[in-house]
Amino acid sequence: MSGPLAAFYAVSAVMLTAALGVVLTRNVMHAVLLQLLVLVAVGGVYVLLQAEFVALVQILVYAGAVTTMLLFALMLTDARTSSRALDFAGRRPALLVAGAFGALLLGLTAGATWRTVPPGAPRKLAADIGRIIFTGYALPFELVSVILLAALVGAIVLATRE
Amino acid sequence: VDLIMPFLWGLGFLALVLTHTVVFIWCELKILAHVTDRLGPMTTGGFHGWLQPVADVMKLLNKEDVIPAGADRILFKAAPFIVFVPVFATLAALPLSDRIMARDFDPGVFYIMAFSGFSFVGMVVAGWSSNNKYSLLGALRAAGQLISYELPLGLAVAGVIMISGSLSLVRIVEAQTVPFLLIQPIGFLVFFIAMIAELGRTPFDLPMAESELVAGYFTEYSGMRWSLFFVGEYFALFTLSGVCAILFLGGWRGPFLPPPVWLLLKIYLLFTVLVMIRGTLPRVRPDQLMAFGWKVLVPATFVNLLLTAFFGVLVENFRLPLALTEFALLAVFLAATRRTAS
Repeated sequence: MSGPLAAFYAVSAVMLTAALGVVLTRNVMHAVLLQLLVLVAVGGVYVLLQAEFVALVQILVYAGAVTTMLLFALMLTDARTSSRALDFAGRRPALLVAGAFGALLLGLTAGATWRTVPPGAPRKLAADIGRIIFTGYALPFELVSVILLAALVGAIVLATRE
Repeated sequence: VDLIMPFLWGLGFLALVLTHTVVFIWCELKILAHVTDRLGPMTTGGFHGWLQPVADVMKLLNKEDVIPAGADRILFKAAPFIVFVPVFATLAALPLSDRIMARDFDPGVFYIMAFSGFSFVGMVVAGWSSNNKYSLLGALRAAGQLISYELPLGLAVAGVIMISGSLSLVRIVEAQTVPFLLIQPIGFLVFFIAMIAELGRTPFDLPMAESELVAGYFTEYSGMRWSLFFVGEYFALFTLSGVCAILFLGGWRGPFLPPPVWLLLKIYLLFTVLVMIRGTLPRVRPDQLMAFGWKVLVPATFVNLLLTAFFGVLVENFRLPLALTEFALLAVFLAATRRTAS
């Protein structure tokens, strides 16, 4: 087994174990931190795919900012007593929905044909990504920006209403 | 062989930065003492107490490791590492000269920004798992402060990237025929202030304000675990000062002396300024902290970015007009704030 492949299996093992932990643990704080581990492991997969820039964005945005936001929200609410709050009645239906969705995704990925890149292909640098975003994908990029802005404004409106 | 070299680099950097941490601590003790008209450590080791930091380390190693009864034991033990590991990881991308570096890779600045923003997850975990109200308040303050000041920090870096056209720290230094401090003074000031806030040093030391929160998020820590937080702070100080020197002060450029020495000199210069600020300025209030970050620093970085883009597109040789405009704006701003203050 080659080095990168071994690394891929190791990273995937960590990611899947942590992901299981997120669902199974009853402590919200532990769930958030295990999710952090999942997000970092996803970054590791990006590194193995030679997409360093995407990996760094993953670390910066998801592992850094999003996780801190979650932790912040947990601490502002009453996280200590809510270790039993995860014991909600909808566990079985939730498992069914998640299972069905997982099966659907598995079916789709098994049937898909993947585009492969030869091993010696030039890496995409940050500058290349920037150029692509602002030329070929300018419209989707702007649309995403508008959606995010709408979410931001909506959040502020909801927060100031009280 | 592929695996041994990075390991050796890691060990080398660890030894280097640990040495400088010890020197930093001694310098800080001495400078702060002289700012407040004291002598500081004078006896340990003979000459001006130069062995004091070493004695401190010995003391810390011998201290008892206490874990509070109500603490979340696993998280309590993990937190110092969640703080320290990302800080140490940033060193992998910090070049000491155009030749001495672990690896020059394309998104170098971005890597350092991503990982230095990561360690505050550890602070929050430390504060929460300690089961102590002061720790929790400190962690909350740390989270709010670091999120708010990461934005101006990143935007100030974006200004530099616009001039140099690269995310690689080596390329950025190569582009600095003139230190970027003289071209983007607004960018430098914002970066420097946001850097102080990210490091949690006075006047932005609210997360560990000793007069209000005992010691903030690491109140309950002792011995080795406490030292990991402490050392992590100085490692972050070293990296961020290094990045600041590389982005705005010309990095390892300079006459006569070898390049790494120049970079270290600039790091020590920034460090001295930081300690002087710590010795002179009082702590800001939380509302002042937020207002200053969002209403002054963030708009200032936008002005910086807009001016850079404007001159960059419009003028062929944009550095001089950009510098003149920025200095003029800065002078106007300082004059205006001075009038309202008095």
